[in-house]
Order: sequence, then structure tokens, then C-alpha cells
Amino acid sequence: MTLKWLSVAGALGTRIGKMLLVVVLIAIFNFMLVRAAPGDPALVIAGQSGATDEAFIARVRAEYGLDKPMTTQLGTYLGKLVTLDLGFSYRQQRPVLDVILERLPATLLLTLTAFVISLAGGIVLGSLAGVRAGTLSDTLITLLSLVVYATPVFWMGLMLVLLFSVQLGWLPAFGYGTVGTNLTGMAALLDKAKYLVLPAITLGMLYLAIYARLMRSSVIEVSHQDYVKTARAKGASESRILWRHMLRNALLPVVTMAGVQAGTLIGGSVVIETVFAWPGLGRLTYEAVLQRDYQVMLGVFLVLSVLVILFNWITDLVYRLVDPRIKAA
Amino acid sequence: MTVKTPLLSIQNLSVVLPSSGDRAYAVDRLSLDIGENEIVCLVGESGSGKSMTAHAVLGLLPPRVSIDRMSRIEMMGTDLTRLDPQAMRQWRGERISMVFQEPMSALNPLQRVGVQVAEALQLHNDARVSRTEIDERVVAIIDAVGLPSPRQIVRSYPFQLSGGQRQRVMIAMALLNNPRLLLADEPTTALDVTTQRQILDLIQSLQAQRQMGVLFITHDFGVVADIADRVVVMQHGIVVEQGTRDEVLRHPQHAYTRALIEAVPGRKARAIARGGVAAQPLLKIEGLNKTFVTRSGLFTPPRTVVAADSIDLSITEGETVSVVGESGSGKSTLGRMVMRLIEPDSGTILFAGKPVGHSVAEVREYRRQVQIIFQDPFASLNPRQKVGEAIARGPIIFGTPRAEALKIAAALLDRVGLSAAAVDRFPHEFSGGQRQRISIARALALKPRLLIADEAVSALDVSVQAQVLALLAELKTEFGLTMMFITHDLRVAAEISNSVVVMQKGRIVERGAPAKLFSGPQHDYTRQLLGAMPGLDFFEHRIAA
Amino acid sequence: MTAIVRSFLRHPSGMLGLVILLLVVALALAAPLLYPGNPWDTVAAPFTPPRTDGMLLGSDSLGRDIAAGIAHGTRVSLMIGVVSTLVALLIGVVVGALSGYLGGRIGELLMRFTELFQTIPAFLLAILLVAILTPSIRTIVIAIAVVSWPQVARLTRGEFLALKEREFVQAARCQGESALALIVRHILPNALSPIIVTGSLAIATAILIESALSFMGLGDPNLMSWGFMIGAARTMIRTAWWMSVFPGVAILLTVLAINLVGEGLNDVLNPRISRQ
Repeated sequence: MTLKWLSVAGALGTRIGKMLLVVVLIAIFNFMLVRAAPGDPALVIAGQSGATDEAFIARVRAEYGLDKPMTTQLGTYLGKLVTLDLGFSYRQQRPVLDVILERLPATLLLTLTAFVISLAGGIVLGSLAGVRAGTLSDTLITLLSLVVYATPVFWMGLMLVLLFSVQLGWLPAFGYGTVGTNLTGMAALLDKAKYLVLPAITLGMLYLAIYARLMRSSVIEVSHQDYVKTARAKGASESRILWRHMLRNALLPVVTMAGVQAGTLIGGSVVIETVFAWPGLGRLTYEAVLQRDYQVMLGVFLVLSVLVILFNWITDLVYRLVDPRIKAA
Repeated sequence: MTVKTPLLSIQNLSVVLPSSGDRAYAVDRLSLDIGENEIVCLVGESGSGKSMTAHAVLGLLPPRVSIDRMSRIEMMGTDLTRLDPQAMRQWRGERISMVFQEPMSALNPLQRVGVQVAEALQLHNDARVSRTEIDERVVAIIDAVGLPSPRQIVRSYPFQLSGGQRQRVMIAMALLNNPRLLLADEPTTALDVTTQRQILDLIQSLQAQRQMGVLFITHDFGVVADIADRVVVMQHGIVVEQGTRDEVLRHPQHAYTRALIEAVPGRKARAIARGGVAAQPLLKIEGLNKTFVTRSGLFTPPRTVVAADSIDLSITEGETVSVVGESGSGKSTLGRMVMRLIEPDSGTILFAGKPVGHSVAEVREYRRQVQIIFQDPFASLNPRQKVGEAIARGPIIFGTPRAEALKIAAALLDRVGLSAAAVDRFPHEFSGGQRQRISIARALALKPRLLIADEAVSALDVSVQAQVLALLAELKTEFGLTMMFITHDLRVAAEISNSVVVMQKGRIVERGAPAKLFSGPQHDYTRQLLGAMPGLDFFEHRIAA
Repeated sequence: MTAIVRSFLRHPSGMLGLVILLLVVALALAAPLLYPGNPWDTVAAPFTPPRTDGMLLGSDSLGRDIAAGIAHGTRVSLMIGVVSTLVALLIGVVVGALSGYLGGRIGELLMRFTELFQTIPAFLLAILLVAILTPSIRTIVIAIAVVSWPQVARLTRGEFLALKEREFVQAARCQGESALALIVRHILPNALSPIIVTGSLAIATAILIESALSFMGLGDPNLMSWGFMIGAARTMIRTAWWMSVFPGVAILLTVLAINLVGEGLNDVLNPRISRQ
């Protein structure tokens, strides 16, 4: 009994250890990137705005030990990270961590909503297409998926704005909520939802197409499996076979894919937030790019990478729940 | 004499294939009857349509494959071909049940076994039986098929059970509703020989207990000899012969039936008596050990599989030695270690008295003299390499000029029974049996002294298997080869070898000439293997001393 | 070989993609003929709507010809797409092949290295690289290649691992083939099909990444690319819809065509039942 607990604890510890290792490696990558950039690393760290302030540059040089050997510099940098010091943004005159934490909730709201839309929609449409393979509905869904998959996400956002905002006037074109009002409770929620619709759907559409196609081929593949024939031989109806035997098995590759796509989903939010002026980490990145505020860029990069790692872990756990063949190891 | 109405009467069954196929009908005007209390064996090779016949009875044909309008399948007064889908579903799993060939893939990997077995009852329950009673009946049927600790099995997932256990579960699932007719589509083909014997015995006893009709599909006449009451022989979708077991086995009328019976291995002795004893063995293995270790996590104990445990073996020149064992016995690993494809953990391999070195040059020189033929004809040849090229590569690498090597290849292809023009063709243009011949030609191109055949005929149809075995026997004499023949089928071993080595879990448990082994086995496991051989009682085995 | 070509010719969606793709390539080649001069030149009044004053697709906020921009942008997109994919394939195939063939510790290590890259949000990494290394065609190609190679490596490793154990490779070993010959003669030709398919789909992804980068202002400032045009059009969506619609349609058609061709190749090279 204790052996089982030991192995579970061991597996957990190994997993956390691996995740931390990845974070450290990404941090080291950040470190090297700054040094690889053309020019003085101090100027890079200070950012475009900070580079004009001599005193600030001097402070940066001292704080990061830029005149000391590389290994000491790395140690200083990693040490700062442990205390969650992601640097100071001269442009915003605030610690990077604060800036990031302020924008994080908006990004989480957007990406999680888009994720749910894409997964739910993809699974439903994909199952439909797979079960009715070769029919009109299948062809339509497949065709639509192909077109959506080929559409640049930022352009789709603009087109949806063109349609729903400019032409039809149903939804707002950009923003995070109606400015200048002080809504509370349900009204506030509905207001926010209005602004969330277009960006979330735009972001979700691409992944919906991906999951739909994957679910479709997975359903078709599962339908050829022997255990489906066994269920039929027992006298099960087609709908029972679908719900009880096919869907859960067909979901497995989709869950795996969802984990893999986490990174691209978060990357896609950068563009979407830019298009829709959604005040999240993505838009922050865009602003930081314009302002050449490298500290903020690197900070966002690190934080989002951690998010992706956490997300991968969650999908892994979900996969283990669904598939009893994989044990906690 | 009263004629009882058969339980199942198939009349004029034709199964139509889609137009893109290579023939129009999978089954062509088949008629057969199954009585209420008998086992009818439907025998044929791959492509005979035997499996399609069983699927047609339950309406389980693949999409785009249909039953011809003129067909009738009658059972208990109903024509099954005219049933609507909902009515058909009532019959499935209740009056007629089916068991399939691959137990691993036939069970839903994500559901517990008990749930799947219970489903058979729930589908035909009409809410009359309570949950607890369903559970009790599931446990009871799992017990009835001979599985120990039924309650534990009920809670297990398929991947936690062995192949034999899964097949028993399938049988339990099929019998839960007391069907009158059981369709068994090659249920033992994917199982080990000893497990096969257990499942065959189980099906026979259950049939007798419940007085069911059973349609048992198989390609092995040995199995037919063991369990059939009546036999139906199929070829290319047509019934060529049918009758009682004794009639068909003792007095086969049709040429194809005769060929199939002849092809059952072990009935002819092909082993050529050894001429003279060489001074030293050609191959001598001493104390060979190999353990495979897989680690799955830092704190989980690693899984160890012992593939070889202190193996001692010597093969004299000109001998054919068969290494016989079931899956997990380590026989394939042994072959690969001799071939130096896998390195042993410890022990020595001596070839012609000298140990085989480790340098690249030494191994290469060794490989000239020892060659191997693999089991899977479809994976043994590079799909993108011309057949002649594949054979000629060996000699070319060892210095033969290209033109001459290709001539050697052409000559070898001719010798193994394919035309020399095959040199320019690709593997996919050949059948399984033909590909094995190509593999043999490839192995012989380097003129080896020792030839290892790793289950080289196991994946072939019975009649093709017999032809390839005959070819190997001819080539052995002609080229003066020594052979190490790895197989799971004792009958094949009996037919072609001078000496049989029996392996179990990495150890050699017994060795001897086939005649001695068959008449007086020393080890328990050998006795078990002998007892499991299909058709043992019926067929005689003449083995040269 | 001819059999493959013939099968592809009979594949409806693949052929459709090929036709569109050939038109796109033709446009790229013909651009300097159709629209001579610099697409950055002002040639008309700003905000000219489509099909007015000889402007087929209208003009932008600085009076530049949208059609010229799209035609010249074709060259940019195709070139960046192809070159970055080739680099990604080179890196990915080498890493994947080594990892798959060698196996053991080195293989594992290479695999972990690949996985690390896949954990990092790809587009963000691309942004980071281009921003820090200053945007130019070279840095964009590097950034896209860095972001795309892990997928190729993973695929190649899988193929190599599987093929290495296949009986025909073992048989070739027994014939005395050297390790290099095994890889080149036996493993690589059989691993090529999925790599080709992944490569062609990667070109499409590369074009999408490049357009997104240009949209965000991280494109090469000297190149008129589709993404840049859409980015410049963003704030004028209410007044000059044609500025953003047409370049987007260009991207959509090109990427769709490449995807169709890639999938057609997949169906032809690896026929499977699931297609039905």
C-alpha cells in the first residue's frame, strides 16, 4: 500500500520537477536571447524608452551585473526570477510583474472561453461529420473546416467586425466593456459578454476547425474497430453504440491534441487581442513590441510559457482519467 | 427415418461485393444447415468467404457489401435476410451470438469487462431483471467459462487480462442470454497453442451442456478433426464439399479438400536423416542470457522479461533443428541473438568452433555464413526496392560485381519458383507466399551455411505453407544448408526437423528427435504442448527416426 | 512514381488546390510584368474604391495600388514560406532521424530538447525572436524555421523508430549494409511520404505566421506583404473595407490551395480506409 503511495508521490514529484526544469530552461533561453541581440544588453533590457535615461541604464547595468562574467549574470537573473522579479518597465514605470498580473485575467477569460467554444463545437461538429461520413452534412462541415483552417485569424476577426459591427451593428468592434458606465452584477456581466463574443469566437473558430477534423477522422477510425462490431453483435442500437462505445474512445486523440494546441491558442490570443483592443497579455505584447519594451516582452513570454506548461499538465490528467490504460507514472 | 428441421438453414446465400473488388461475390450460392445440437466446422483459407458467411447470418456485413435477394437464411421459422433492423437487433446476442477472432480488439478498451458482459443482458432485458440480479448472472457466467476469481475479473479492464482470458470473456458475453446458435469466427487462431486447446475444450463442453448449434470457422483441419460433427469446405466463395467429419476426413471427394488435408503439417516426414557426424558442431551456444528491462517511472519497479536463461544448444552441420515454444518463450530472441541482431547479456556463441567477434568486420564476415528469414512476408521486403535489387544487395556488398549479382538474383528467383522476370518488380505485386519465396532467395544469395527461419511459414495459408516447407526441404539438400527453424507449431517441427528443442519462458526444457519426443515426452510442458496439438488423435504422425 | 502522379491527377480536391496554387505562382512570376514599378509608389488618390479610376482593387490610405501590392506580396509570401520550411525540414529531419535511429539516451535527450521547443507558445517565440533580432527577411525566416522544426523532428523520429525495427531493415543489416546505407536506402525512402506531406502543410503555416508578424508590424519594412497591408488597413475598416478584404482573400486562397495539395498528397501517398 505504501509502495503505491510512494510511486504516486514519486511520479508527481518527477512531473513537477520536469515542469520546473522547463521553466528554468526557458528562462535561460530568455537570458541568452537578450545577449544575442545586436547592441548593448543594457540597452536591450532598458528598452527603447529606458535607453534615453542614462541613470536608468547605469542602474540596469549594476542590478543585472552586466560587467560581471556570464555565469554570475545568469545566477543573478535566475535569482531574480525566484523572487518573482521580472524586471522593471521604464515605459510603464512599474515592475513588469505588476503589469502582467493586471492584464492576466483578461487573457484568461478570452482564452478559456475560446477553448471551451472550440472544444465543444469541434467535438459536436466532428462527431456529426464522422457519423454521417460521405453525406451532405459531412461534406459541408469538412469544407467549412478547411476554409476556416486556411483563414488568417486576425483577418477573420476583422471580417467579423466588418460584418457584425460595421454592417449589422449587433456587436461592439473592440474593447473590454462599455466605457464610462458603472455597471454592476448581471448588467456588468452581460455587458462584458457582449464584448467577449467576437474575439472569443474568432479565436475559437480556428481550433474548432482543427478539433472538428480530428474528431471526424477519429470517429471514422473508431467505427472500424472490432469492439464496435461486438456491440452490434450483442444487439445494441446504432445510437447506443455511438454514445457508449464510440465517442469516449474517439475523444482520446482530441484530448491529446488539445494539450498540444494550448501553445498555439495562447499565441493566437496575441493577435486577437490586438485586433479587438482586448486589454490582455497579448495586447500587452503588441504594445511592448511597438515600444521595444523588451523586459515586458520577455516577462510575458515566461508567464505564458508557464501557463502552457500548466495547461499541458491538466490535459494530461484529463487523458489519464479518460483512458484507464495509462497509470500515474 | 425422421428428418429433424435444422436450427439454421442457409439457402443459396450470395454475398455481393462492391464493383471495385477483384471478384463479384464473396460467397456464391452457399447452402448449409446447422442442427440444434451439433458443431459444424466451416473450413477454408483466406479469401474463401467463410467469415463473410457468418457475418451475413447476423447482418453484420461491412458497408457496401450486401446479401443477394435470392438468398434465404431461415431460423425458427423466420427468414433473417428479410428482417428490419430493429427486429434483427432482437435476435443478435439473444438467439444467435457471435465470437470473433481477435480478443484484444474485440473488447472496448475503456470499459470494465463486467460492464461489457452485463450489456449483453441489459440489451435484451426489457427491464424485467433487477440490477443486482444482472450482476449475479454476470459473475455466474464468468465463472462458468472457467475464469478464476470472477468478481475480480468483472472489475478489470481488457488490457489487464491475457488473450485466453479475454476470449473466455467474449464467450461469456455471447452465452449470457442462452442463445440457440453460436457463430465462432476463428476464435482460437490468435491464441497460443495451449490456450487454443483450453478454449476448444471449453466451447465443446459448453455446446454439449447447453445443446446449442455451433458454426465454427477455422482454417485448420486439425481443429476440424478435434471438434467437428460435420464439415463444410469452402474455396473462393463456393462450397466444394460437405459431410460428416469422418466422411470428409477419411474419404475426401474434392481435390481441394484433399489438398487441405494433405497440407496439415506433421503428416509427412520431410526430415532427411543426417549423414555422418561432423567433428564439431557448426553452431554452439553456451550459457546465453538475455533479460529485457523496461522502466516506466522513477519510483515504479521496472518490468523484467527473461528472454534467455542459461541456454546451451549445439547444432551439427546438415541438421535441421526446430525451436518450439509459445509467445514469450524467447525463441525469436534466440534466433536474433544467433543472428547478432540483438546482443546477449552474457554467454558465448561459437560458429565452426570459433567465437564470433564484436568488430564490424568480424560480424560482417559472420553474417555471410548465417542468414535469416522472417515471419511477416509484408514487412520483410522494402516496398520501394525492386525484388532483384533486394536479393542482389548481399553479394554486391561483399564484392560481387553488379551485373553478376543480378544474374545470381534471377537464377535464385527461378529456383524458388518465380520467374526470372520478377527481378524488376516491386514487392506489392506479389502474394504472401511469393514474398516468402523472395525472402528465401535473398537469404540464399550469400550462400550461407546456416539458415534461420523465424516463424517463416506461420503467416501463410495452410496450402501455401506446405509448398514453402517443401521448397525449404529441397533447398536444404541442394545447398547443403543447416537450418534452425523457429516455430510455435509442433506439427511443423515434427515434419521437417531432425531434432526438436522445446522452450518455455527463456529456458530449454527438453530436446530430442521428434519420434522420441512424441512417444515419450519427459517434461510436463512438452506433454502439455503435445496434448494441445490440434488433430493429434485423428492424424497419424510418421516421423523418421 | 508515375503511378503516384496519376493518382494525384484523379484526386478532385488536390487538383483544385494545385490549379489555384499554379495560378498564385503564375501571379508571383508575372507581378513585375503586370504591375511594373514599386508597389510602394503612390499611383492614385487615396481611398479609391475598387473598379474606379483604373484601380481594380482600389487604393489605400497613401494612394498605393492594392492590386499591385497583392501581386508583389505573392512573391514575398511564397518565398518566405518555402525558404523557412526548407530550413525547418533540414533541421527537423536531421534531429528527428538522429533521435529515432540512435535511440537510447541520446535519442531521448534530443526528444526532450524537441519537446521543450514545442512547449513554448510558437507565435510568441516568433515575435520575440523577430523583435529582439530586429525585423528583416532573414530574421523572419529564422524565426519561422525555429518555430516549425519541432513538429518535423517529432514526425521523423517516430518514423525512424518504427522503421528501424521493421524486418526489411533487419534483413538489410544481415546482408551487411552499413548504417549509412540503411538510413539512405531503406529508412529514408519509406519515411519520406509523411515528411513531404508535413512539409507542404508547413509552408501554409509559414505563410500564416509571416502574415501575422507583418500584421503586428514585425515584417521586413522594405517588403510589401499581405499581412502588412491588412495591418495598415485595420483602423480604416469602416471607411475603406477593400484595403483589408482583398489581401486577406489572397492569403486565404493561397493557404487553402497549399492545404488541399498537401492533403491530396497525403491521400495518394498513404492510402487509408478512414478516407471513406
